[in-house]
Amino acid sequence: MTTLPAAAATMAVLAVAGAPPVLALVGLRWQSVPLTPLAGAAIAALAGIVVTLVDGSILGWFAVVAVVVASGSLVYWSRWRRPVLRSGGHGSAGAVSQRLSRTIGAAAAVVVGLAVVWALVPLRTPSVGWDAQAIWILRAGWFAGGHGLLLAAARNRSLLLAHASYPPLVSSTVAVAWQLTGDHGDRLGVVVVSLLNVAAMAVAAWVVIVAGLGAAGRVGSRTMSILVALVGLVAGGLFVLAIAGVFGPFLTNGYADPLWSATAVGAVGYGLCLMPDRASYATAGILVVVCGLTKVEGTVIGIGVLGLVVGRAVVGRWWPRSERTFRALVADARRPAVYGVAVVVLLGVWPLLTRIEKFTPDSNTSGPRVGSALTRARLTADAMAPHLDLLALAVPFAIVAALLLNRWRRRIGLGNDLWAWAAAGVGLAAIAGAYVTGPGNVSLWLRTSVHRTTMFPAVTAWLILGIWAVVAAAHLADRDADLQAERELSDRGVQP
Amino acid sequence: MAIGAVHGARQAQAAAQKGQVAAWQLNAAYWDCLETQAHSLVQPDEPVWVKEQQLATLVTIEKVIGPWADQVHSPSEAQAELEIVTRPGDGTCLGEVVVGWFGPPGGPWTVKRTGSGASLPGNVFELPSTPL
Repeated sequence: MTTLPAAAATMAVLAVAGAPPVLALVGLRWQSVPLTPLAGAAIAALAGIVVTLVDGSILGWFAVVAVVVASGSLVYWSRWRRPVLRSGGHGSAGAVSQRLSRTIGAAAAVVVGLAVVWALVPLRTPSVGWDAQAIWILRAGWFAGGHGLLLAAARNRSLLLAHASYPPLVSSTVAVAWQLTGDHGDRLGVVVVSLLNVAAMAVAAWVVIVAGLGAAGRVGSRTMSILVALVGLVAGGLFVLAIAGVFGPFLTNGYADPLWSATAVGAVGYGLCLMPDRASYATAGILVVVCGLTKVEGTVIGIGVLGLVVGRAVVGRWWPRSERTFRALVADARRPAVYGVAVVVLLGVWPLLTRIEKFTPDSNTSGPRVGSALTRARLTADAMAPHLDLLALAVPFAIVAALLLNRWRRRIGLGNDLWAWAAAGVGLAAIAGAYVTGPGNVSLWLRTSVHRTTMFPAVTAWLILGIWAVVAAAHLADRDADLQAERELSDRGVQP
Repeated sequence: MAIGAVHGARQAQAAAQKGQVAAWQLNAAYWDCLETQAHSLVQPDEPVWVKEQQLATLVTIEKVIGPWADQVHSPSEAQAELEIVTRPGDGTCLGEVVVGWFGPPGGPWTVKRTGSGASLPGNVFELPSTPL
């Protein structure tokens, strides 16, 4: 089997494995389509965790875990979530008709699909990134080699590069792809990771499109509401290409950073920006799981984003009912908190397991600690600045937009912009904190990583701009509709 | 957003140009060549020790055999020792060749064998620089 059919077969199998939990938790929505292979990759990660504990092939355990997850999803859906499994709806679609919502959704799927295909053009170049080869694909060989080889290699302190304790999602998924197709090439690994990256980008882009549909639903005139939905559609397509620019060569050379960054931004979008509903929160939860099982930075920032999502869910329950008793407020907070804790426990399994199984801790490849905290902070800020130049535009833009359009944003039902900025701040603080307080020569460390570690705040800024674009479009469209209505009334001699 | 999208689209197009494709095809051929040579010397279940060399060479050999070889903690557990040697001439992978040393378990390894089954003429300096 050549690489392309092998990658397609892998993505199809991941999508089939990931479909039951996505359908049970999120329902039949447009974002569910790219979300299914991501959920399938999370199942591959769970299979990787099982292979760490017991004998057996990763493909066999993948099948077992997929069946267990599907059974659990069926039970969950049949007992508690039956109404969710329905087609069409968008959480924020408001007054937009189902038919229009579906038509715009289909058109947006085509636009986002075309943008994704364009972003994947660099796959013509058979590049395999340095980390991809030294970490992700190398460890895929361990997962494919089974329990014995995995433990022997992960405990081997003479290995320099492999970062044995990094989360298992990328390497486990590549190992599943290899065993499924019989193609054990680096190239297949890189293509599968790239396809997961663009799936995560498509899920994140759908936030802008859903926001556009929600905004369209609040605009009085039908023509104007179609225009606003189209603005969301175009902004969603542009968002995909813009973040492909942020990811650069790492999007298609097997690195894990675009995956954790895009899933974290998707979680910000569904959990903090869109109108709070169960499907959006469930999408955010699945994305946090994928993010946290992908890379250590993803685990830390994913948990940070999750904390904000839970905080928003709790505040959202408290805010309009301030007259309620403290006990009732605590009862309201219980469910979001339980879901949040469940995700954190799931993400905690791998780090705990690597300690129990005595995996080699991450080696410091940049030498002894150099420089004071202040020097390191200055170097970190200098190195990050060129990758975060978008913030110099996005922050003032968002402030002005908030001053002028916040009433409209609330009317559409979108979350306060500050939630998304708080998530970007948490991500930036976590990464900068690691550089400042961590070991080694920070200049070398920054030179070899800063482009990738700043992807999350940069892409979050693009998401924020995309959402403000649809809010602004809705405001302008409704203002035009108001003016037109006033004009018609005045033509008829009626005082508006 | 349009400016960002244009930047992203142009970047994607530039990454897929002919020169880039050729450079990365050479890179892929180089790693395939080294892996074939390593496989000609040791089997996946054979305990192997990687000779202490320069960091860059150690990194290269770890990337080549890391996914499949049984790399052991100390030379005393190994049945063979592997190294990468730079040398001109035929039978190399861009001027590098995998060399194995064999003997009784734990050494001394006195029998030298050179990796075979693949070769790639040229020089490692022709490889593209990898983004970090």
